[in-house]
Amino acid sequence: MSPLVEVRNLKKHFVLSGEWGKERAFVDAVSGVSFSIFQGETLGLVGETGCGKSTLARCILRLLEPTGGSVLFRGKDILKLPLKEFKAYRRRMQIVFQDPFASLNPRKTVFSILEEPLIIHGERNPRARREKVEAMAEQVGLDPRLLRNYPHEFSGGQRQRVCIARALILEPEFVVCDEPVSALDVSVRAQILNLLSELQERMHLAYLFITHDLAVVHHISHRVAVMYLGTIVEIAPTEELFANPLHPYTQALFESIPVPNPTYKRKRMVLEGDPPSPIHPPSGCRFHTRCPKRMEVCSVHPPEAFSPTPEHVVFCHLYGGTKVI
Amino acid sequence: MRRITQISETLYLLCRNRAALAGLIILGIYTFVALFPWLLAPNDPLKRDLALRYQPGFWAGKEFARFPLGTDYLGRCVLSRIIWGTRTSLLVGVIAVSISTALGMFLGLFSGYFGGWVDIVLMRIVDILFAFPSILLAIAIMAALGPGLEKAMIAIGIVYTPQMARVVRSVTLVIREMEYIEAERALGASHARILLYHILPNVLAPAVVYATLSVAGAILDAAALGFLGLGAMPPAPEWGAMLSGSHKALTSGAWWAVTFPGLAIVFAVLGLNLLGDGMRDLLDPRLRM
Repeated sequence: MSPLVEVRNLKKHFVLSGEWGKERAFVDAVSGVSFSIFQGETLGLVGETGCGKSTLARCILRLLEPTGGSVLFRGKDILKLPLKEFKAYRRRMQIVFQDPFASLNPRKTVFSILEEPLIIHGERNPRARREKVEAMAEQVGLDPRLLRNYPHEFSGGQRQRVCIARALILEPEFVVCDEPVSALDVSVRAQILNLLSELQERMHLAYLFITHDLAVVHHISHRVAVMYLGTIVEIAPTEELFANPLHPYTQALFESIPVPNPTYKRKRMVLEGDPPSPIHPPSGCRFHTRCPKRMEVCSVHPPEAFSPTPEHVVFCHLYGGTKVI
Repeated sequence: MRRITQISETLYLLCRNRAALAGLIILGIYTFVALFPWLLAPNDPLKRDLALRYQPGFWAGKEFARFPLGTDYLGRCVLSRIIWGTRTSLLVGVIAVSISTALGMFLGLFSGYFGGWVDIVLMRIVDILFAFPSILLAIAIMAALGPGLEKAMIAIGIVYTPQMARVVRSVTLVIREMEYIEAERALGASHARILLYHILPNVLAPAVVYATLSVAGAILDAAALGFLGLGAMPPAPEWGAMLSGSHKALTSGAWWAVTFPGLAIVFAVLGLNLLGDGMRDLLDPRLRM
């Protein structure tokens, strides 16, 4: 089976210009990321704040123009398309944002928010639009009678349902969920996650699910990619990754999950310091400045991919590195 | 059908907001006066009689009731001149501000939304306009356009554009970064659609409030131009011209010649401000309760 979305060596630098255009510096937000997502699958993307997760997502959707690399959607390189032609792809790939309070225009009724994607994509018949909007509202569990209300009259969970409905009303194949439950109350999170799973099954959606919450990622993802400072350090099927994390960063990340057992003794593996600045990222392996198992080679050469099993890839010098992808 | 219910709902809400209602009533009265001055004015506003200059009004006794608010330095009826001046003054204020609002919104939206060199060029132009004292700039524009009330409106409109452009731009900069704008882009909405359907409604509220506030300033500036012989031509009644024409009246004790035109301006501004504030609340669905 060929992947629905294939990201190849994607790069995004932000230019920091000094006064009068001098002293230019580059923020290396995403530096050479590759992965693929299959239809009906959820790929979880975890990493610390500022590691480039959201930038990566926005580059895939061309909300930001990537500096390099390619994104193949059903085999077609969508980064090379002129923007006009790309509009046809917009309806096939959508995004749900983190903050349901900032992602709905406060001056539009929910109905017109949900109707708008249909208007943009050329549905001229108002009755057809109304029917679609009402059907979609029902699918995400919104009372169609509430459609005339404004966003501020809804709770956070309901607003997120509106955001999901807006993303799905064009019947996309691929949806980026950028921390869709991080801003919600814990009690509502499960509902929204279950809704996303249900809709995935019904509409055969592929999700790129960005989060920093490992419990959420465990719950919803089929595969998980771990990101550190603009690079992916490890990618594997969820169960395998949680059972057998190979990269020291992944191990440290999982060690930080609280365990509800007071007698449990942690293996001492606490990371020191903050992630380095992406303006001057460390040489070699980007994690070497904080890695408890670093070797001399780590600061010199970036690590090669190593695959213990066909679907598990880790980038770390500990495992020698035989190029298998 | 939905349009109509929306308008009636808005009117209903406007009436429930007492401050806005007060503003609406004040402006309603002014509008009536501006439309039908001949029904209300007791005397001919242009008829001068030097024998009757600086006559006090009704408070001085029954024999002065002919000129209820007294007479000015040429013996003209102050009340009649205020009433006849309403039309000119309001028109100057409203039209000048309409010009500045239209120009300023266009510049501000464009500059704030697209950013980059468009923003740099437009904002430097705005900065240059800012650098001149407003009245000097107005005079310079009038010098190019020639005298006359219509030209004064245009000049004042241009003078007030930079402020409006700045206000609109700053709001646009905030709205542009909201996630709902990003969601629109992800949906494939065009720039025009994002600007008109999503940013403009959010910019409208502060712009309307700012516009109502600047009407007052525009009336005063029109008065200053009139004083310099560039705005309303001397015999024509206009509030600002009345103020500046009677500036010597205060020293000779004829306070009424200056006070009443001033009060006319004050109440017009008050009404506009109250309405502007109310409009801001009405235009924000979050405050519609």
